[in-house]
Amino acid sequence: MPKALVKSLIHADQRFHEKLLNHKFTQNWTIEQIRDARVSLLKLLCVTRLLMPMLTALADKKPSQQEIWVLGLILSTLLKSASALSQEILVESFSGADSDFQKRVQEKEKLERIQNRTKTFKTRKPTHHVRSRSADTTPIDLKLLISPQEARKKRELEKTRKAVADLEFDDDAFSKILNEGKKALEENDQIRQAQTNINDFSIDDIEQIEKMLTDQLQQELISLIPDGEFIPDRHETLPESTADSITPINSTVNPATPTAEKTAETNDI
Amino acid sequence: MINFLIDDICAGSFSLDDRHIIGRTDSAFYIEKLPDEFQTYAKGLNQSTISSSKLLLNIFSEEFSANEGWVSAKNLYANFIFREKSREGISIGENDADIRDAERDRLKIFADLIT
Repeated sequence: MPKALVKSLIHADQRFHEKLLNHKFTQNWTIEQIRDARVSLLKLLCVTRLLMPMLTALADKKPSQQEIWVLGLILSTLLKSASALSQEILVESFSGADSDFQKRVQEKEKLERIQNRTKTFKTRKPTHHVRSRSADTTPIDLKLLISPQEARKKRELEKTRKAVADLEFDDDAFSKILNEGKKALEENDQIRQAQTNINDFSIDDIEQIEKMLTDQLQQELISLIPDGEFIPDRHETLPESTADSITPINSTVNPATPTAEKTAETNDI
Repeated sequence: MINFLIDDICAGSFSLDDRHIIGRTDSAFYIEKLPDEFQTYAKGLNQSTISSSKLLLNIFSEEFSANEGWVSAKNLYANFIFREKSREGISIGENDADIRDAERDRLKIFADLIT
């Protein structure tokens, strides 16, 4: 690259930079936007208006397909390399500019940095890692976190609650055991009573039961007799057959009965 | 001269969205209205106007004529044209994408060499 061209480009950049800072449409542009515009101007002056017309001047009046392609490829390669070159020119341009201009640019840059910082402070995302909701976890909010003192109180409260719950559990178990013991004692008493009742059971009791049963049977038979008929005295009116059929359990055995005869025979043998 | 060109570029309207194409439209200057020191760069032209790129070319033509890089690039380009003419190349109407890509890859090497 000729030195005169490089010098001219640096001068052009300085002038353009100054114009951008003062122009009514561009004075609000950020440093980054101004930088883009400066790079764009350098590419325009160096490649689009100078090198490419010089190269196309070398081509034939009726270029072949290959020639057209080569020129296009040269243009794209030149633009790429011009980006790298423009970075160096921008640095050279700034270092060679007036000190007042440099101060002005630095102040603008500083102001922008502060503005960006305050802007990002307002809309800053949480710096800590937040797990996604798909993991079924809620994001941790520092405001909701309890202080160490509160945590200690909570822990003590939980401990006392647990101890009280254990005591209650013991009471229940004790009352259960007591109830079971009471039940066992009652059962033992009942069994003992039943055993004494069995031991006290005698022939008089059997006679009593027999009497009760005969009374019951007689009442049933009376209920079978139709209404309006004479009801004789209880022991006399009963038919003989019926009276014979009712035999007391503990009455003596009639020797006239065939069973008595049979027993007599067996005794003789 | 550079101040003159930059002032001309900055005379146009600027917008933030078009900052990447600043000065893309080439300006044309009336030769008779050019400052006296630039009149020499517009000599020998038949028309009454001169474009800014032509003006730039004329300013730096002397610089480039003595520049080794430019001379070698010019020679490489001339050599490439000579070789391509002697070689049966791809036709303009070639539709096969693979052939076109292969040809472009071959030419990319020349382009890189020249730049």
